[in-house]
Amino acid sequence: MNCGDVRLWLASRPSVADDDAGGVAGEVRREAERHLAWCGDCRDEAARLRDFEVRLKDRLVTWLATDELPHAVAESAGAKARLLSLLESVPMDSAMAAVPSTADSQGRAVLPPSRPATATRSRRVVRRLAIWSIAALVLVGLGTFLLMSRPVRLDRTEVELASLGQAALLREGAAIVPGAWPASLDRRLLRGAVPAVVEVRGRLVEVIQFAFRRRSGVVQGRLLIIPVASLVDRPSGTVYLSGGLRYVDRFAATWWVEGQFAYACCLTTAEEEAFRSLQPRRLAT
Amino acid sequence: MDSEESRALVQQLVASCYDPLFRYALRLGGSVPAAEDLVQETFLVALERVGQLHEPDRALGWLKTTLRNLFLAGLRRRRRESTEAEPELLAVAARDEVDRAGLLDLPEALNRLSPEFRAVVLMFYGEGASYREIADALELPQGTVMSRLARARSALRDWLEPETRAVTNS
Repeated sequence: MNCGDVRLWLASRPSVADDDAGGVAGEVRREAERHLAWCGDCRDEAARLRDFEVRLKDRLVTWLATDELPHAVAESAGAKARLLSLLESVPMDSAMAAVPSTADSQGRAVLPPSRPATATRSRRVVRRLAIWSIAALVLVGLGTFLLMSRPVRLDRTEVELASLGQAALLREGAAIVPGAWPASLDRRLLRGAVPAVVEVRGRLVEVIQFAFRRRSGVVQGRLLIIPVASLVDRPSGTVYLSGGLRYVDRFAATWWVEGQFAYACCLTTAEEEAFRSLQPRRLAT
Repeated sequence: MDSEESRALVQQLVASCYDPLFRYALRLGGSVPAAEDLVQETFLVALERVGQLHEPDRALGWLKTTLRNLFLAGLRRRRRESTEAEPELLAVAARDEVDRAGLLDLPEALNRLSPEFRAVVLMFYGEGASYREIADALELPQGTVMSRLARARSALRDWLEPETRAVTNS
């Protein structure tokens, strides 16, 4: 064994400080140790590696115990509000009873609209007016953008990555085209859900966040809506679940096109049954 | 505890535990979006199971355990669904970066690692878990854990203390 072999051996051990690193063939280990017995350079390298590990461990333990991440927490303030809204909308036992029995048999309960008990009718009207006003502004802005800017076509993966990151949400309560919801997905799922918009390289993508219950627990989901002309790799499917599943980060997603829009339904589970449960009843049977 | 009491309790937990839980999630997840998702999923799970929380004083620890289990479950699921034999060392966001010269700080360096490698480093060095414990948690062979640890450590050394590598190569 020469110095190069021993350096490789040292680097391949999971922890130099661990005498019983395991997994290393006994003969190779004995040869390396024989080399280390007479080669000062390699012994120094082993010592440097060991020292690095000690420092790394100390720094990690300290860092994990540190209680300072003000910038990131501030960025997350919007997410906290969205979480409270989502928690408010998840049906509890009494609400579950109101869900049609056919939905229960599919192991699913669709979320009802988010309606805080304290909200008055007039507040809801004002809020809806505000949402539609913002949506109209976004629509006008999008049209202007599409007319005036050089077209940028997006890869589906970059759309998914940007849209699944909540931090990228630009505007709450906005929709690119209000009501541009797909016919092949159960619309009850989206009832009461608040759309938001993200910008991906100058293109706007609508994101609708939802959650539903299955027997195994709550599943989170997002529906992405993007003008089909914006995509460089147009999905082949023409109805929900006709295009198979893709995996992006912690989500499984299925893409399809209906009319002028491409849709992606992303769930925090890859169970096909969970995806199938979101089909309208007439399609599921 | 009835359903609405559960909801109210979880909403209180959001108010009192969100920030420390988010910090913990950020360290595991490596990015703000990933951390937000993890925290959200944790509170949704809490909504289902808050009846199991017998000691409210320990709510943060209970939520952290739930979050960590969700993070590890996500890694296991990614592995099962991946067609690649072994995940990439670098996180997606770091793969297109030009090889960075100069020192990185610890969070930057950890965030350059993909979640599969970062988890092994955090569990081994940060939490003192054994190879076997990590292998069990991630449902991986022990040899894979050891090999990931070696690769991650080597990369971290390059990013955190490149001068010690230069000495080696001279």
